[in-house]
Amino acid sequence: MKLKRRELLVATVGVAAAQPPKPQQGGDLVELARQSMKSNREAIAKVKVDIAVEPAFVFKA
Amino acid sequence: MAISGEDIFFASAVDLNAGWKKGDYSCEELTKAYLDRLEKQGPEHNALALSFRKDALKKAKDVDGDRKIERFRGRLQGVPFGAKDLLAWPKYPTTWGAKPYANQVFDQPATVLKKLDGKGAVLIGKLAMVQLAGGGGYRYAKASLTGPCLNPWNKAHWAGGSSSGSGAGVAGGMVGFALGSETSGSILTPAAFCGITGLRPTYGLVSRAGAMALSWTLDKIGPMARTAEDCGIILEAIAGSDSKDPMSAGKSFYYAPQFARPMTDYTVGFAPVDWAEWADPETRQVLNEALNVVRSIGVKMKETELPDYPYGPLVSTILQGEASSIFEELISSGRVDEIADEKQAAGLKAAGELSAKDYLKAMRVRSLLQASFRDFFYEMDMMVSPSRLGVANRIEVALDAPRPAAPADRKRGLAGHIPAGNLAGLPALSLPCGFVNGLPVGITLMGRALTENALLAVGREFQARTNWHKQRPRS
Repeated sequence: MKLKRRELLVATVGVAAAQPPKPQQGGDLVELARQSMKSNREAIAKVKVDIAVEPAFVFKA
Repeated sequence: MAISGEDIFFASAVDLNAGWKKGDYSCEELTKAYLDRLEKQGPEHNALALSFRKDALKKAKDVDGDRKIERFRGRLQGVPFGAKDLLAWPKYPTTWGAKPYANQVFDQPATVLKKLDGKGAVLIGKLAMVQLAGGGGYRYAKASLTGPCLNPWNKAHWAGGSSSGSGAGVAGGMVGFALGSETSGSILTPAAFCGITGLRPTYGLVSRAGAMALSWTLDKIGPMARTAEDCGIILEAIAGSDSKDPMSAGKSFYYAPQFARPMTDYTVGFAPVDWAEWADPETRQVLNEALNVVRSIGVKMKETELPDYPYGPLVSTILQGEASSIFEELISSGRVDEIADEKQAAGLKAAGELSAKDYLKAMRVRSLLQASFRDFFYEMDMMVSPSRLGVANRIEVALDAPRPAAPADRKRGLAGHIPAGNLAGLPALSLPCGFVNGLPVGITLMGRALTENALLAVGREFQARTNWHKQRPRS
């Protein structure tokens, strides 16, 4: 089937529009960092801490 | 007397001082020779942030004046040294290794540099570092204002980070010794990768005033040098109480090899799994030979393993929580995007979303961890483990590439000593212990708080039985 230039342009634009937008690489990396923070949170959550335990604020040798 | 040959560039700080004191060379001659080498080889390795030629030569003349009137200031007098570029020195930029801070100048010197200046050591330059000491988590060795710091043993490989230039500078004979800093691994890693001796002091023993903060509760400043003895002498010069550092432990350190206990009095913990399974296969033979040298010293050896905590997640969470506050303005202004590693910028941005609850949970677990380490060291004086599990990475390799998955039943061992020791604030000493494919490998001794003299005593015995710390790369 032969396409006229106008039809070809419409088809091409349509294909492009159908593609999901390529995410920003920086945004991907922020999301990866968030996932890493979530994994850290889950790992730390497994440690049971008694209610009386205070944070290590006064931290001197 | 003129300085000739290369030996002078690989002499210990103690020997450099002794030669100057004896009159073998003037401090000016020595400083000029080191400056020439630093200015030539530093840029070739991306190890130099800034040379201080003019001021260093002026200081050297003053030091020579001290000798004429026999004003001796200790065993670092006349020794040229370099400092990681997160330590402030007036009039000159302190870049923190990052483009957004490339023109930053402070009025006051870092306490540690002021102390060394008072001892007559000669600051000849600032040494390159991973930007912001790696805060946010970087992917590539090139995450630095000066580019990837190249390993003097093989320029295709990285010098390690984040005290990269300090490691390369000492290994390459560009400085007599250097100062580095460690939040989680930044002294031990370049020390191991570059084949030098690095000491991470007890948290609070050395003032951080005038140093870039990455994590208030994790940051430490320490010596990187050719020998354990040099590290002890440097630590004595820089340690001590400082009202400018709110976390100063208020303790001094006196290097006292004359009071070292007999080696048979020490018990050293080790985990066979570190040497047989955790270490990369190609390093195991060299590391096991080093472990045998430790045994031969006469210490008692005891099998052990680290207390069970999620060390990596804990150190990451605490570091992110504190770094996101420290660098809040950098992040909110958008200038964070100027730094040289997209992953690191993204890590800093995401860190701003860390909740107070998550940070505090990590700090509460850290309280438990610290108590566990007090128990851990009831049964031994120190532990020994490979400094790193492999040799220095090639510079183009992503540093966050996953390691081969460990078998689920592999024992914990002591391989997590870097995050563990930093969370607990414990001192550690990395010693060069051999080479694999021409690249250095190291072992680390770690002990309870304020036992640096014990670590240095065992380190000295190890270096009396080996020559790894005397090896030098081809120029």
